[in-house]
Amino acid sequence: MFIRALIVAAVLAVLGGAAALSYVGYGGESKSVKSARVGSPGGGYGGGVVK
Amino acid sequence: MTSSDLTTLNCTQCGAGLSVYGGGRVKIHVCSYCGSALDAQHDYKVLARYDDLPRPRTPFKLGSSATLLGVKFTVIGTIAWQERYQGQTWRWVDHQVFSPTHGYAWLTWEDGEAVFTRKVRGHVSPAWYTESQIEHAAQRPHVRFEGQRFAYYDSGRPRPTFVEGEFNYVPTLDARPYYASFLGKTQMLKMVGEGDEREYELSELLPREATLRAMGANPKSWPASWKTHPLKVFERHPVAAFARNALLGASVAALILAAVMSTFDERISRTSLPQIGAMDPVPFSVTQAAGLVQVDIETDIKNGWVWLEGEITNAGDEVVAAFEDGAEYYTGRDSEGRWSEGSRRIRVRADLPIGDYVLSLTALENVGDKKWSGKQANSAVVSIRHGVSYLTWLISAGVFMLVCGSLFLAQRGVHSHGRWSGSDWVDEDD
Repeated sequence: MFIRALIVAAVLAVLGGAAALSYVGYGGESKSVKSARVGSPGGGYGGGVVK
Repeated sequence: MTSSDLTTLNCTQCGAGLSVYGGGRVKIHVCSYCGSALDAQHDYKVLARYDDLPRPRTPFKLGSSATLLGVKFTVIGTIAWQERYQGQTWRWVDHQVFSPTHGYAWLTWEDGEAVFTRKVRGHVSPAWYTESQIEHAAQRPHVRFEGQRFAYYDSGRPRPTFVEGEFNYVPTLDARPYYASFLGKTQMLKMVGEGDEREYELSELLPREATLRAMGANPKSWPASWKTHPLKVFERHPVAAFARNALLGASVAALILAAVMSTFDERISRTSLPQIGAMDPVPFSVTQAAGLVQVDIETDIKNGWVWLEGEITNAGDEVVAAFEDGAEYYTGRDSEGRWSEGSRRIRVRADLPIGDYVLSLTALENVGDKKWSGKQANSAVVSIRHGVSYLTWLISAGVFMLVCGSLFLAQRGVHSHGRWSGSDWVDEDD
């Protein structure tokens, strides 16, 4: 019984974790996009310097 | 005087004390010390000498007793076999076992498993397969016995390499008995013949550890082989079946969830930009915190490429994301019909918090390939969505669990393949 519960917990953890990461879009940002640190000193992308 | 009257005797050759376990039908007793083969039916006179033979490694000793398939048997003899074919060598050890109520049988130690074999009488159909018939058979031969179907497994002519103890026949080192074995679901039927004698034997696998323990051997000293014994029946543990169902169920759930989540996103802007050389800024508002913002720029480039630079600024006029990306698209017609390569679309995804933004686009390069009568891009349509899920995680998890669950499904096939891997039958199609 314990092993079955462990299997269910592991499967749900994988499923839930994958669903959460997918939902928030973690890691899905395009490689060509360089995100700025909004509110950082100097403000804007790369401290005010764009590329 | 026969062995049925004795419990011990002294070897008539070397004088060593020998225990007698084998009952009244024992024909020969091979001395464990000097290797003399003593005629148990005629005052133990010496018939032959089997000395200096390499002793095989086996967990079963003469005199050890155990209940095998519900009957108590005692090990009375040991005979080791060797068979060579095409550079390969097979070795196994047969032990003749005796029960006062059930007579004689065999306990074999091969590939780390214990196999019980008894002689059987009955109608086997077809009654016999010769070496030549097997050699020339177009399809794998089959036999029927007691309602069971057995498929040809292997055949050969092994030779004994070691003899010790009591036997109800006279083994000789010159013997080259012929056997052809046929594998059923749980048993193996063997046709065994030497000279004019033809017999049938039926074998089945014994529980390894229980048999070793019952015979006084330590199972840890006799590890199981990695190979699947042909007589091993496939058994799936209930927990394995549960894990298989859980994994396959979860993989289906993951793929359904991915399909549902793919509908969560929402288009927040669609803007036509008629002149790619002077594109107006595209304002948009992100109102969903979760998910990504996806910008699709559909160009009308044909047989060329266009390279764009984009910047996304927030309400405070800060650049929060920037990108460079291009679209390259070729199309034409050849002998196989119409073809196209590449894409007219640029797609970028960014992680933006809730807020108002402006997308500014500049064309860095816009080239129609003259070699292909290409045309520059004139216009673009920008489409922006928010709440876009990154389904790679969910689909990967689904595929991973599907593969893991499928491995359980493949277990039976792998087991069956392992059972038959030792067969010497080769289909001509293979």
